[in-house]
Amino acid sequence: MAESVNSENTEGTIGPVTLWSLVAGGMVGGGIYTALGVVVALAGQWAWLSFLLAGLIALPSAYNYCRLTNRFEKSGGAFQFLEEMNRDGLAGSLSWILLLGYVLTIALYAFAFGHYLAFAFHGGSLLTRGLALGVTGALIVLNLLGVGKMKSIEIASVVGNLLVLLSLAGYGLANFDTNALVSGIEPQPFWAALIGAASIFVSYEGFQLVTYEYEQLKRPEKNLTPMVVSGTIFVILTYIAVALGATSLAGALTVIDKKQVALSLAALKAWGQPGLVALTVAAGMATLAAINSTLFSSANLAARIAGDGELPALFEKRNGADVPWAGVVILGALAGTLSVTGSLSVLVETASLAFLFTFGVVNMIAYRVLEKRRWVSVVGLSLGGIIGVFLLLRLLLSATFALAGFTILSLLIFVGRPYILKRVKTDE
Amino acid sequence: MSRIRNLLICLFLCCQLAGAQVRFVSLLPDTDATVTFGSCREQLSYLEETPYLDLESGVYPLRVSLKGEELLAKRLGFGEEERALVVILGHRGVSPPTGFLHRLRAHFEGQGHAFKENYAVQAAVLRGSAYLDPKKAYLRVFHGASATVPLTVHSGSQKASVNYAQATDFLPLEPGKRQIEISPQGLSAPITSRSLDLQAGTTTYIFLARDNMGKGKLETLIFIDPPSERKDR
Repeated sequence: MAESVNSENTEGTIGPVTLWSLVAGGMVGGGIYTALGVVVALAGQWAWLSFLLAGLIALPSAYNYCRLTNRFEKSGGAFQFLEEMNRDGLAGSLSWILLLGYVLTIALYAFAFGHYLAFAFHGGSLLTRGLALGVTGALIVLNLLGVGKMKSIEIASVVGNLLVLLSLAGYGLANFDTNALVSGIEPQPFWAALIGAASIFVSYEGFQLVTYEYEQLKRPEKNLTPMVVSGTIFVILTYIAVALGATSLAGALTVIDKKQVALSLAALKAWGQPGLVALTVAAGMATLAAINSTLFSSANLAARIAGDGELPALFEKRNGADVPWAGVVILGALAGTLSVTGSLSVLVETASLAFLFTFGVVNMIAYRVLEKRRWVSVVGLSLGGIIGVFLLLRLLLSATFALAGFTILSLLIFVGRPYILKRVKTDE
Repeated sequence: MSRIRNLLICLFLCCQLAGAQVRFVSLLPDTDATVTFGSCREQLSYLEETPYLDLESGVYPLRVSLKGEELLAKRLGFGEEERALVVILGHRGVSPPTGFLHRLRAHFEGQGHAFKENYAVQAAVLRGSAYLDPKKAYLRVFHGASATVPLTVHSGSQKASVNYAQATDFLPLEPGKRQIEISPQGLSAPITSRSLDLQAGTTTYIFLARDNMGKGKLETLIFIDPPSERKDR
């Protein structure tokens, strides 16, 4: 179980600026590069509204994550919150769902890395898959060697990434063409934004990785909530600007047709080859940092969960570099495999489902534990519930096998997990 | 109320800048289908295409009719500097799937749904061009042949699969004489084969269609799309 730290901790290494960068970078890291085409295909000209709606669910969830982390003064996120409430069984099940969500997210980032780089080098599907597998493999090795979370590189990539994305969005908005939002497609009704929001909710999951770093935060009581909330608001605005600007530049049909590299085409349209180079570097750096950060955090979370007997003890074992090697290898290998076998929409949507569920649980915990501002949890739960229904319907109608797989896995986790844990060696 | 709405639509369209180029291709086995797109009205026979029509960017109603019978009505938008091909395909007499579940699926599958229609009359929109290497020749194959399995297009080292109502991406080829073979997916024997002299900087389109409700012989429409003089998407 995590050690509690003083909320006035002044010796932490993560100050407010770094914290803000990690929040913004954690979200923008890979999400927008893959989400834009998926959301435009579903919501058409209302893609920007989808990002706003999904952001309006992420925002109360982010606020509640911060309040609960400060309340318990421990890192560990949703798993820790449930442990503090003595709901160990639910904590175990949720942590497995969360790890599944992280595997899907890493797969998504690796998918984006492969496609954006391969597009720049005119590569085919072999190069795309090779790059996706290669980047996952390389980061598994680097993590096993103990490189861990490279905060300075992560922050540099966040700054570069945001500069390129905001420049692209700004250029698109300065040359805005309303009709390009429906170019080559049939205009969609405004409520299609709900389906879009449901599908790309995963774009906002990144903020909660900072709650795993609570012990490293400087003055978390003072810094955590304002930095996470302002970072989330900034990301919502960035996504809206990119959705409008990039679609205006590339045209809706192109964004849908080439959804894997939609932003590359918008950059190419805006600034030609130099634009493509800048966007490819930004996408490569952002996804690389996002894969590394998510792999590192999820392996450490798995070790922590194993320490509480909710995962096989293997996940807790550390190598000579003090790295929980089994988590790094198993989660990384699963993600690498999914990145070359899964389709973009299915990866985005199943990951969104995992995080909608997790954030819903966190909002529920906040409603029960925190006395003040319960309406925030109600807003998060209500909007999340509506979007969740839309996502389930979307998966049921268009990705039945993926939904069936997710349901079977969830049932196994909630019902079969205790039996699985009894049969394998755990810490308890 | 509807007057105000129409006035607003007119104002919206009038305020738009010039910019889209759209051409229509008919794979409807019937002769002389009338395609109306905004103020443009074209008579198209089976396997016939229009030249590029210059349009102001905007959202337009698309109507396809035959001897007064409306076969298709939908709205399509085009932005500035957009270049696109609108392919009309399917068979008159085949009704589009209806019912609550179908309508629900149509909403939840968004733009992807159009490719899963049955053989009812429908419109598929193809981006006119991408960022293409002027030293290369490009090939695109559109599968409009009903009652035909998914196809694989081969030319040299290039290979692409295509389903009904879909087109391959722009396949880059070396300019010169090239043998194009199209076979059912998973089979090596081609159902059609063409030798084409491909020019650098151009895109050659091959459209495949079948008449007589998919029982007729496989026919092809081939045309070469010159490079756009404007900054293409």
